[in-house]
Amino acid sequence: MGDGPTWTGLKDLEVFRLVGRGDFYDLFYVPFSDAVHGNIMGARQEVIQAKTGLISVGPRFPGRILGWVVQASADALIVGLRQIDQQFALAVDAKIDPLQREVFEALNRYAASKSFRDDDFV
Amino acid sequence: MDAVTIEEVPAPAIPNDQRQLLDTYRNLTREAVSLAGPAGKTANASPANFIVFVLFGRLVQLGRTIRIVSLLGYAHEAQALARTSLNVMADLLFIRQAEPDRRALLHALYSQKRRRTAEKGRVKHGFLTQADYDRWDKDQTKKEEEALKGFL
Repeated sequence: MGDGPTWTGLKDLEVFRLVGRGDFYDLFYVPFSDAVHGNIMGARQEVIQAKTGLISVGPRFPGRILGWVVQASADALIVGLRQIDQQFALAVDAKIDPLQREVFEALNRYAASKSFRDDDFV
Repeated sequence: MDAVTIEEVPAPAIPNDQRQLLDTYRNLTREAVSLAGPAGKTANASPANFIVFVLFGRLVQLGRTIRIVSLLGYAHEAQALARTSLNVMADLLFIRQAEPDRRALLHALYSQKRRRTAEKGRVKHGFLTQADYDRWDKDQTKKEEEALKGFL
């Protein structure tokens, strides 16, 4: 084990690419990292509100961000479930497929919903 | 220059379309736990089994937390948790990609190293005495070795 900042000795981007999930890195990890690091991208809502003279704090129910958060974390859970299935030879693959379809269809419906459609904040 | 104020706003009701999406998500986490459950019987059979099962448990816990935070209207803040889920997912895939037992052990042992680094920071800044650190480290190391018993 070296003195690297991660247990793999690799950068996060390198790990995602190595395991064939560079798409997750580009689509979700990058914007989520902005929120985590509290940089100006993560504070865009406050920047926009500040220009109106009022920063309102509390529940905001962001439409688009909710869609991204659910998609990313549901996909991560499904990938994890498939890894469990393979590691332990559970043979539940056929039961995971309909679960994945159900989430996919729910996300498609949500993409056409008022919350998602009317939210211009990405 | 105009003044800017910060005000706490009352919580509105969750939009119905958001609730429906989060209901589907709840079903996913429940079904995932049910399907993965039998893996627990052999979770201690190898380092890879152990760490893969542990990381899956983390994914489920994160998923449940993301749902609750989002139900309360804080999906923006849930991005931090979703990012953690992605890290856990990538670790799982990386461990299983090659030499899973070796990588699983490396993953476990690195957490020990990070724990020590964090606590040494507390000693450095006077939040913990060296003697307390030594005692605590001995205790934590024992617990970790017990968790990895038979694998090291």
